[in-house]
Order: sequence, then structure tokens, then C-alpha cells
Amino acid sequence: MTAIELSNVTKQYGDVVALHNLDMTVESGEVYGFLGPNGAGKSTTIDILLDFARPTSGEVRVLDRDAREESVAVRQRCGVLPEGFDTYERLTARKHVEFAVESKGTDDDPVALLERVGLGDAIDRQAGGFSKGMTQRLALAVALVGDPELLVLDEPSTGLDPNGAREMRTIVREEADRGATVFFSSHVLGQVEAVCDRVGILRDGKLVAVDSVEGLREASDTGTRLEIETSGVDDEALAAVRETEGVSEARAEGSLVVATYAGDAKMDVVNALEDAGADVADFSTSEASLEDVFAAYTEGER
Amino acid sequence: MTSLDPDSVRAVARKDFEDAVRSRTLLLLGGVFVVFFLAAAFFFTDLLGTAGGQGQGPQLTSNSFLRSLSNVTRLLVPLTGAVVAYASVIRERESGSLKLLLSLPHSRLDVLAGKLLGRGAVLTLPVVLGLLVAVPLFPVADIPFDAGTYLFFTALTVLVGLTFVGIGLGASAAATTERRAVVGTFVPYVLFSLLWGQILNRATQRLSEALDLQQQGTLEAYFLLRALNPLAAYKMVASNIGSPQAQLQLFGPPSRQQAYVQQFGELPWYLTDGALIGVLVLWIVVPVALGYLVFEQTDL
Repeated sequence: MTAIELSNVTKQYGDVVALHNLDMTVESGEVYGFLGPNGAGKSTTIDILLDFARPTSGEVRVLDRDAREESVAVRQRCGVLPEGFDTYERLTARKHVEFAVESKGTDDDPVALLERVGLGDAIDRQAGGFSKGMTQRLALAVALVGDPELLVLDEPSTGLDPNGAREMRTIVREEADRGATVFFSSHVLGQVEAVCDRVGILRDGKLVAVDSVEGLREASDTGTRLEIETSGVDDEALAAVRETEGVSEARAEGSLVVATYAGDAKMDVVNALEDAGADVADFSTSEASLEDVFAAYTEGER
Repeated sequence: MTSLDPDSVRAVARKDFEDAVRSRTLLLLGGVFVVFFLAAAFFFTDLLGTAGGQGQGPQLTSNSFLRSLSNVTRLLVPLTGAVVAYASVIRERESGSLKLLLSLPHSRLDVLAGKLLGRGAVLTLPVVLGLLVAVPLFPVADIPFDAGTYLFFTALTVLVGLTFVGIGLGASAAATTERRAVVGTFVPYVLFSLLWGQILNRATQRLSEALDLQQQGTLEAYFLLRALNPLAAYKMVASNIGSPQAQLQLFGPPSRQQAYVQQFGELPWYLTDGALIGVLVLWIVVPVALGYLVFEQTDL
């Protein structure tokens, strides 16, 4: 079963094409990270899933229902943390959750939900006085009402401190373990790396890559990053590094040489540097972060 | 897509009403209307007590009070309805709370219907309360009190207030900015409260010339156009309270209605109370329906 299915979806705002023949599938039960730079069309996609906006053409199905014609039924089974939303400033946190419980016709305990998202000490405070992070937590509590089959979280860690972001991840995991599908848009890649089963990258209204986090790293071929501390390098030494087999890029940052390579060229690079007369003090390697992967996919050069 | 779910409507209406209670709108309006109706009733009974003591003029009752009161309520209550309603949807849209609302299983029709009920209640309660509070003044001043017409007037006044809740809500749902919602709500108010008479006279004259209407046709065209104005429709029904339609206006110069009745017998059907109340109901429903048609097609 698929939780979300977009087929050939195009969305135009006047002359601007926000989504371009987008095909995307999110399987039931997975945590899907939806990545992309600002303006890529992430929010437009989510707006279409929730019938906040209508596609110019194409078919959109959510939980096996038409996103437009059966939107109320879709939203009955979804929990949504929207982006760019606001709370009702005069109503308390409890009232917000109670309203969602009443709207969905469930029997959730508002206090338990608010405690779960870390708002246990603000239950009867008016939401107008909440910080951005607290507002996010409140919206998450609202989204969790009714144990939804699908959670749509649009930039959920906005305004959260690292601790809050970690708690958010924990809840996402718990919901996934319960069997919920989580559709998670973000540009905070650490969040996505830590929590998602699959990642889709959207660029200019097109899905440019879909894979597991590891798979994406391989596919993007950005290789391993090598940092070498030296006593100082000249252009000749740097050129030697670049000519080493397997090295795709090298640059100097003061006395630090940063090279990107594939395979096992590490020692060759170190040797090349020493042969060129540079003293190698220390070196370290790191896997390319999703940030690098992300850049590779969205800059349009590779 | 166009589903209307009563539970959903009730949830939206209740939330909207609670929000208004928290904002003290209800308290403020309640205060304004209690003071207004009490003061009006006090001056009326006081004045009447003096006049009655001199044994002059016809016997006045609570109906006379309602008829004269309608000159002010026809402006005040719809204005309140407009103020209560104009921002109801667009402000939520601009702030983003509409996203929170529509991420829950409510159709857009549910949202508008719930808002109509919620804001309608915010208008209705203060009006009813204000009119109720004024009731004891009549027995105290020894003026005959007609409970039936008093109740009818209360309902009628709520209804005319709701016409502008409907217009304001429709404008708010269709508008893309709050400024446009203000224009869409208050331009009709100014039109109906201040300019309609002038427009009406000119339009009737043009129509009469263009179609070569006789006196009866001209008067009927005038009546029809006048009845389309919800504030005028309200005033016409309120003027009939406690007095048979044939002898409208006990005081002042004979009205056009009187002139018509004297010459041609019965008034046309669209000037009957039932038809005029129908006009009021249409002014609630039609603007909301039009606003919905736009709102339903909109990308938020």
C-alpha cells in the first residue's frame, strides 16, 4: 500500500512552474525525508496533499483517496504540522488539543498529548505567549491527535533548540514504530539522516533523487573527505595531490589541505604531499555529510 | 469536497465563539447594547410619562417604542454585524491559523458555516440581552407592553444584524487581503445605510422614463428596489409592528406606501412582511454562498 502517490503533478502559479510533472511515492509505514532548498516546491507539494492548493494537472492520492475530492477523509486520518501557521493566541494549549480531538471525534487525553511533546507545564497557558519552539510543540501535539496513519511534518524542527529537535526525532521514531507513515520535509539534514528510511530530493519542482541515506551518498559520488594538516603547502604540492589517482578535488586552507577522493587513495595522497616536500603532521577522514550530497544534487553542476 | 458535516460545523462555531469570548468582544458588545437599549427605553418611557400625564396624543405602547427604536437599530446592529464578521476568515488566512484549522478534517464549507454560527452568536447574544434588560422599564412606567411584538422585533433585529454578518463573512472568505475584506463589507454598508435613497430615486426616475411607466408602475419599481436594501426591508417590517399595514405611519406626512394604498388598494406582494423577511434571509445566505464559491477555488 502506498501512503502518498503523486502522478505527473504540475502546479503553476501564473507563469511560475512550482512543480513540474512530479512523480513521487511514499510507501506505507516508512519515514520519508523530503529535502530541497527554499523555493524547490516542498511546501507547494504539501499544500497539494492537504488540498490547501490544487494542482494544475496530475493525480494526487493520499492514503488511497483523492487528495482533492476526498480531502476531509484524508485529513481525518492525517496528522499535520504545517509550515507558516499560527495558533489562536487567546486560546490555551489545552483548548487547541481539545479542538482537534473534537474535530476528529477521538478520545485522546489532551494533557497526555501535551506532556508527551514537553508542554506539560504550559497546558493552561494561552498560546499567544508561546515561543516559536513551544508553538511547534503545540502543533505537534495537535498533529498526534487520533493516532494518525500519516504524519505530514513540514519543517518540524523550525524554532526548536537541539534538545527539542532530538525530542521531535524521538516522537517521529515512536510514531513510525507504531506503524504510522511519516512524511517529513526539512532542510536540516542532520534531522533527516538520523530519522528517515528514505530521502527524496526536490529541486526546481522535480524529484532529482530518491534513495536511502547511504544509497544517496554512494549515488552522489562525492567520496570521502580528507583533511591533512601540514607545515605548509605550495601550489606544486597541491598540484601533486590533484594528480593523484582517485582524487576529485583538492584545495588549501592555510596549512590545511582538504581533498575529496574515492576508493582508497588516502595514503597515496599523503605520500604525494611528502614527496612534494610538505611535512604531514596529522590527517583525518570523514564521510561526506548529506549536506555535501544535497549540494551536489541541487547546485546543478554535477 | 462540498460536504457539510454538522459535528464539524459545531466544532468550528464553538471554537470561534470561545475565541470571541476570550477577546472580550462579547463583553464589550453586551455592555454597549445593554446601555444603549436601557437608555433608549428610559428616555422613551420618561418622555411618555410626561406626555401621558398631560393626557395628550394617542395611547402609546411598547410597539411605539420599537417603531421609533428601529430608526437607530437599523444602522447600529448591522454595523455591529459587519465589524464582528469582516475579518473572520481573512485574518486567519493572513496569520496562518487557517492552516491549523484546515489541517483538521473540516471542509471549507464547514469552516464558513461554523463561522457564520459563531459570529452570529457573538452578535445575537448582546442584542437579545440588551432588549431583555429594557423590558422591566415598561411596567415601571405603566406603559402597555406587548410581549409578542417585542419578541418579534428582537428576532427581526437579530436577523438584520445577521445580514451584515453574512456580507462580512462572504467578503472575508473571498478577499485576498484584509483591506479588501474591509472594502467588501463596509462599502455595502455605506451604500445601504446612506446612499440607497438617492440611488433609488434616480434609478426609479430613469426606469420610469425608459419604460414609460405610469404612476403605479413607477411606485412599484420604487418599492421593489427599496425592498432589496436589507436595512430598508428591516425598517419597513419594523414600521408595521403593532399597526395594520394600510395605516402606516401615524405621524408625519403620508408615505409613498400610503399614497399607493389609497390609490390602488393593496400593497404589492413583495412589500408584505413575509417577503421582506425573505429578503433579509437572502442577504445572509447569498453573500456567504458567493464568498464560498471563491474561497473553495482558492489556493491558500
